[in-house]
Amino acid sequence: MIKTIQITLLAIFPAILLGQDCDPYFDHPFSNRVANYEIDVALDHEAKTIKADQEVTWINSSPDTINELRWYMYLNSFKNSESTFIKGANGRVFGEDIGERSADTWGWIKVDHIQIKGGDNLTEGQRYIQLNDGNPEDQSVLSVPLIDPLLPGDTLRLDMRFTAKMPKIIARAGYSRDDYFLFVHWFPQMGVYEKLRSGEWGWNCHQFMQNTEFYADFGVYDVSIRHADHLVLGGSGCQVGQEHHGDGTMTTTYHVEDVIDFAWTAYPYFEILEEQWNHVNIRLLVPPEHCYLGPRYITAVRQSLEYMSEHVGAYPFPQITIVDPPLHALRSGLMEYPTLITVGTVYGMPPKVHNMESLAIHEFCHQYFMMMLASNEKEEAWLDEGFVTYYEDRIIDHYYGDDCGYYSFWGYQTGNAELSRIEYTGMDNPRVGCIAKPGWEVKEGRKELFYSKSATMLRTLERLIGIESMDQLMKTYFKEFKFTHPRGVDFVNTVNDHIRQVHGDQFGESMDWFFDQCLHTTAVSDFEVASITNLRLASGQGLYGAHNTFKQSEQQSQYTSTVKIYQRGDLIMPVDILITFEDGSTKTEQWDGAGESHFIEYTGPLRIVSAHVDPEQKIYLDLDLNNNSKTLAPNRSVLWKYALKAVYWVQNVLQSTSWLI
Amino acid sequence: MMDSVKIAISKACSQWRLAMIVYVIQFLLAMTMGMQLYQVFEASIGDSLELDKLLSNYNHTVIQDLLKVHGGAITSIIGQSRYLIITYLIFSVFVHASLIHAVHHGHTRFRDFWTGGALYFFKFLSLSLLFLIVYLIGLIVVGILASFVFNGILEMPSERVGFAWLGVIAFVFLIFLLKVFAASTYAKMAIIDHDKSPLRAFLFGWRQLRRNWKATYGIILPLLLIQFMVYGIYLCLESQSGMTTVTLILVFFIFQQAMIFFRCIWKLMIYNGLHGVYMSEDK
Repeated sequence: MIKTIQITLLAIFPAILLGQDCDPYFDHPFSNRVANYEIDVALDHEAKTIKADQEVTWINSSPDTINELRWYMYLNSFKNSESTFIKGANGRVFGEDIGERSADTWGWIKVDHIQIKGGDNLTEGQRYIQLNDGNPEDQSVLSVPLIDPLLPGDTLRLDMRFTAKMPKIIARAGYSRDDYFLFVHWFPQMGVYEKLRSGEWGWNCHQFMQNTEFYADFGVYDVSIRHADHLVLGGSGCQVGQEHHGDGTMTTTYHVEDVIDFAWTAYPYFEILEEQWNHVNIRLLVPPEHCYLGPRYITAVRQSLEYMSEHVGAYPFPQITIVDPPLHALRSGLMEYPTLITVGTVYGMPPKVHNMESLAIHEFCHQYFMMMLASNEKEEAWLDEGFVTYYEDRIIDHYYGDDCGYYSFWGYQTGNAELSRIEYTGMDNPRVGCIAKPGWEVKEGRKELFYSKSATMLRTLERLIGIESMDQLMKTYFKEFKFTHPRGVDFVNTVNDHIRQVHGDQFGESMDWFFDQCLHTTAVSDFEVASITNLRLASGQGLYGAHNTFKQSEQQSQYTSTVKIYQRGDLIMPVDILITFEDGSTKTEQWDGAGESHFIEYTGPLRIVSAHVDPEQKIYLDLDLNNNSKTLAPNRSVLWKYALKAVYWVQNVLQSTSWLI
Repeated sequence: MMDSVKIAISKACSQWRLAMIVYVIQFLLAMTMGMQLYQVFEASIGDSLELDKLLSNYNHTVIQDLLKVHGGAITSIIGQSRYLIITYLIFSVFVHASLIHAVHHGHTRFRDFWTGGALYFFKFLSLSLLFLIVYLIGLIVVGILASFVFNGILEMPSERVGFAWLGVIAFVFLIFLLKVFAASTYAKMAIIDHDKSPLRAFLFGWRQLRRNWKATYGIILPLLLIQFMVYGIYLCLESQSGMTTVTLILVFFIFQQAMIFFRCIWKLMIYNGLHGVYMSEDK
């Protein structure tokens, strides 16, 4: 089937004959293209090494004179157990005990030669620096002093030669058996020179630390890879050329514009599945045993393209490559790179368990927040992971069902947004940290805070302002800040401007009260309807007159009804409270959420039957939604349902185990 | 062979009173767990409006929020169930002695149930321990094989090979369980028929299975098929609607209890069938 598709494409599109699978050239640049790379690399798949010539064109877009260059050399984090990254993982990375590794399974990278084009040789001056933690063994950041400083606005052209040895997969990078490779952090990459949070200009080039990801400038990448011809390659951007050398090797060339990184993969046994969605070629590289699952990945990415284009903004790139690693290389999965994502599944994944779709959608959404907006993932991971998880939830629940989107299996089901919330609310200690912290300061609960709490916070915002308003807001944010490395304050300002325009003063002067609490404190929310009481008022009944004549009240009974509500947390959010009376009528009250308790009182002929704080579950951050309501007329049939189910299953267990005797 | 199955079914149906006793005992024990769960749910979220969401469907948010806040109470009920199972296992020895004694003598009355258990409880207990050791050995072997497969799965061409091996191991283990069950049933019959000692009965049971394996599987497999069909019908019905209204809760509960009772009778079918094989040859 795959061969038929490829033959058909070969017959129809001449570009394919030239080894080109899409057109990667934009009419105009989307970004400032500060850091541009031309890399010619040769892969020795047996030695697991690469040797490369790299030409870097870098623009000093700052007002400063630059005296040194800083480079990410992240592959050196996998050189030994003393690197900052490995030490921070306490020797275990993705469940693997790194300390047990043999000599040939570690990785490294070194710059053999670096010289300004037609100018100074900078090789001798290079040294590793450790400005985050002072760890002398860490070689993840390289400093290269310039002999002649670079003036503001000037362009630097460098020729470099480097060698790298890939590790056996650590944190996605490296090789596995059968010549599987994923090349990430594989080339010396420039850090970012920008206006820092302190207000001064400087290098933003952190060491590779646990709980942090990546941050780099936008640019154009031209990468030519010489490799053995039994390997099937995939890479960021489009394949623009392929040349066989007749000696068992070939060169595959890629080009991609306006991205912050370049990743590529190689494996002899990849099957290729493709589908076209509008201008985007969806290309899946999948091992043979997962081929039958391929359409699920492609469908998930197509759904993501549709949804994100409609609700956030257009995906301008002509290709998205999905890499599904074989099981032995699964530790290279579940990650995002510009126009290339790695996913993961196992043979036999049931159709109604949408784990693999959820992963693919999550990694694709990173193209918007990691790649196009490209916030600093190290310092503000929530701006990437939180938004990505929020959209992953929306897309899965939209296409596969709100309460069964993630899985629906033998009567058990859950939606994606539910799972995100539960991951946060189910923490042993939801107060363990703030969302808006740099990754290296978070020792515990990184996923729960950066992914789940952030996504649940955004869902709360969505429910407060309405989904149409949220979509408008996100479109504005994306349009204004794509390809510009926005910070959290940029997003908050965008929200405030939008709210003022669309909602006036409905939420106060700004939404700072929302973000100050959610991002910068550990405050939690837990509303509880503590009690409902209805006291009958005595009126017109008793002994009256000189003769103490007993009178029965002829008036309709009056009741004083009180609802007591607690806020057991300290997150102050306005809420609605729905009161239902015994005749079915309802009333909605408001509470600003301030204080630890709130009382609602009525006097009238009707008793209150139930009270429900936040009936629409707008405050999705609430730790316990079950105690948000109380009724004086509970539905016992549900209790019977579960009790009788329990009886049935206990009987089953007793019968089954008695067969052993 | 089909005649033997038909005879087994008809004899078992005539012994419905004995099955009823077993069913009632299981029901009463299970009700203790069910009512505890009812009370925990009632105390924790019984008056919450969120409870209504559980009527039409499983709701992950409601259940997870419940477990987060009140999980301790529910895990203690689950913990109790371990002791309930152990208690019932010991009582099962009595039940099996009673049933096989009744099958051997063709008893059908309520009062006939207790005789076998009273006479043969301790011999059956010793025999059960012997077979339990065999089960445990089998479980350990399967566990070791499965762990080899799991540890080596990354070295295999793909996980499909590993899953196929696990499937083979599971199938072989199922056959092993069937064999142990059949041998243990024959051994029990030998104790009741000839008052053999547990050890002699244990050895006899395996010999009997070896000599009559075709007839044994000829009884067990068709009856197993009937069991799967009945269960499959239930699953189809439940997947169509499930316990989503008060009426359906009652209807499905009755259906579930009917299935449990059917399984008690089904056990008698197997015993009657294997008894026919046991009696058909000279010992």
